[in-house]
Amino acid sequence: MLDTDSFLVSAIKADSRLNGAIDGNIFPTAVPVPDEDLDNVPLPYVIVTYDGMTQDTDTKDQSGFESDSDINTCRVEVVAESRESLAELISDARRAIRKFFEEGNGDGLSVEDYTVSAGRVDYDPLKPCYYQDLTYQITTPND
Amino acid sequence: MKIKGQNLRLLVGGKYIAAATSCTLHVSMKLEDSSTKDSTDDWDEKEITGKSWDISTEALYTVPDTSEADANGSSAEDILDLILAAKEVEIEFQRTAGEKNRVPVDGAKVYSGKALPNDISIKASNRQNGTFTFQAQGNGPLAPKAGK
Repeated sequence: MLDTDSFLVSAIKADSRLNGAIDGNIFPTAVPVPDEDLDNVPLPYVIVTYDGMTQDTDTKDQSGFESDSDINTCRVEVVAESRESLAELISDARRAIRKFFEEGNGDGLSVEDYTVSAGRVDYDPLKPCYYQDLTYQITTPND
Repeated sequence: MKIKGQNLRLLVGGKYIAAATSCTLHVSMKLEDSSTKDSTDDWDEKEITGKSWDISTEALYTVPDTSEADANGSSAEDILDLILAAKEVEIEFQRTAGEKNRVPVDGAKVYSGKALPNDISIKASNRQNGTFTFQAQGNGPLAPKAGK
């Protein structure tokens, strides 16, 4: 389901502390930043992408070709000026998204399950900045 | 014609196993070596001394009276109860299609026989669907019959 990335954007925007910390600089896949402007985006900021979908476990009871559930992969990339700031923002993003999932504020998105994992912390000497990805695998019904 | 796995199903006690992910029908013959000095060119000769069959299935863990385990589908709990009852059950292996892949294919052969359920193993891992495996040993012949 393509709106799972919008769900994560809504979750981050709904958290006033986090949204304030990044000064509203959150970029979903649908609103790309032109390459020439990338260096001018003030730190810190967040990019949310939709990285595709796979199908959940199939059973013999499914008479169609597809499984009843989709597993959507979305990535939340947090970019910050320092290691400490990055750690704090990652922690805040996890908390904000977890709260959104738990309270069912999903803009009508039906979530059956989700998992989260984090990638390594990287450093870009050109900007310079630190960045890290949170990867969400969100299971939704295949309507 | 190739048949997909979802269109080959087991019925246990007249009901499909709900949310099954795979099933196996295994038929075997016991062979005894009947080679003699008369056997040509040292080739072994065999004699059938017995036949056996068994079934096994893997499925997601379901509970009775749900969309999966309805009047036509056995839940994991139904299967567990079968084992605990230690009674012989009717097994059928058939080709299916249609709604929930639970409609027998017209004219397709059905293999059926009595079996003794003898093994169930339920697996419940964190953050994963509960699953179970089930086995039954044939108790007497497995016979083909013409489909409806």
